[in-house]
Amino acid sequence: MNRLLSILTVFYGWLLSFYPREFRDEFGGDMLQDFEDALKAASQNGFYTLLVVLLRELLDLPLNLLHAHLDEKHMIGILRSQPVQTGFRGAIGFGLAFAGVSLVRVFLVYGLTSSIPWLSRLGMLLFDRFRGNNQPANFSIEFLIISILAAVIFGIVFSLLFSSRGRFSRFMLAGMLGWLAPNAIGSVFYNSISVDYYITPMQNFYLSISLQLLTGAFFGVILSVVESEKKTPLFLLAVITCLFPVITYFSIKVFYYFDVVTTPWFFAALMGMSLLYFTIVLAVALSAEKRMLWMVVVGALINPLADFLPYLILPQKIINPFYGLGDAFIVNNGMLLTSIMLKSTFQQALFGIQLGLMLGIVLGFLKKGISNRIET
Amino acid sequence: MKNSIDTNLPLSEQTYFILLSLRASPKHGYAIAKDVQTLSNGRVVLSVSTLYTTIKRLLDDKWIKLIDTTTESNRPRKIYELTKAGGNVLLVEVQRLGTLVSAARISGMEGIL
Repeated sequence: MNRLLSILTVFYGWLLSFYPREFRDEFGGDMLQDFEDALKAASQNGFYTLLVVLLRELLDLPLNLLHAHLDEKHMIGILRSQPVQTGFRGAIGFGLAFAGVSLVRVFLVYGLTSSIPWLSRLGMLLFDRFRGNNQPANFSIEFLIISILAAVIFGIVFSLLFSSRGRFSRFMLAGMLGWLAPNAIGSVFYNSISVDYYITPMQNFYLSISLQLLTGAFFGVILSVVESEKKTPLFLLAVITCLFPVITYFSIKVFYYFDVVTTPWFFAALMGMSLLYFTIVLAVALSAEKRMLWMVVVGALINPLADFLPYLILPQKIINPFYGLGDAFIVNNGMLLTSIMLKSTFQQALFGIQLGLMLGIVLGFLKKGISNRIET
Repeated sequence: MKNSIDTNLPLSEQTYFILLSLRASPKHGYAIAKDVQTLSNGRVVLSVSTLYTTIKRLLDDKWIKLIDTTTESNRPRKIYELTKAGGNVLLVEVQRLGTLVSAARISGMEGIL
């Protein structure tokens, strides 16, 4: 038994050599002696106890070894810092929320709507009702239901992962509104009339970029609103979520009625509207906390990039759900549907992770700044 | 001071028992490990690597300090002592746990406490 203990102690001594030099110099001697003493004490209670102690020591060592190395490089401090913690939370929260929303949307779009006859009939009815000459309105009841469901799911996942101290409803509501608002505005922008019929492809590109900036600003404002203790920012977010799509719808109808759509002023008006909304979103963030303006700015900048970056790193066939399908494909094909669903989910999860990570890191820095200010 | 303590609470069980053990008297690593096992009724068993990872963190946080080196079996052992900051943290944690237990008592769990 003594020989076995000696061998094990030598072996443990060798394992200790993997610790950083500074740690080894300070604790190596004590650790080796403690290990030897622990083995001796265990061996007096039989081989089984010795085995248990040995296993515990060997299983615990790798994690502590990693900890010591990370600590040596000050990584533990960085990993424990507020920006990195909130960054990770943001990445997980937004990643899961976007993935969940994507799953539900694809499932509803290709699954439920084609299998519920009354929903399809209602959709057709509304489609005919809203369609006029030269203004093929694509209003879709399915899209409305799906958007609301998606917003609810986004709100739930977001609040489950972010909320604390019984603030679940606030987080859920802010998540829902922040998700719904830009989707509704974008939908109304493009579907009130065929906007892209009246503007040039280049103008369409600029408009889509401005809408992406606005969407990102809304994602930024979600975190600003939930972090605030005030009621006003959430109230304002609710108001603009209701008002912006309605204002957009009627403005575009007025532009159409007065034939502004055929003039260059139409594009200028759309961009102006987008800029105005962006400014109001900034004001909502400002009502939460002055520093939170940065959340909106960062959200706006990251949103278009997060859409684009995965395509630079990963091959199209992995992340593009419709890669190789051409213009027409059979939606009843189960395998194809599953593939689209999974790829869309993966794509959206990647998107959410990038967005959440960046927003979380910035939020962490801002919160750190605020708490430092409070302490001083 | 209160704010910086609050950000470190709640303590992990390992940290809590190590501080509790050192509150009674200064000890070397192996004695701490044995004492923690006794104090926790055998529930918390520290491996050597976990013990010294925690000790290093507590030294870095200045919750414990090295006070002496003794020799046992011709080998030096370091003796650690609880600092004032460590004692304060332990006190606040004990008060926090006390509040939790009181709340449980008020809600009618006296019988099992």
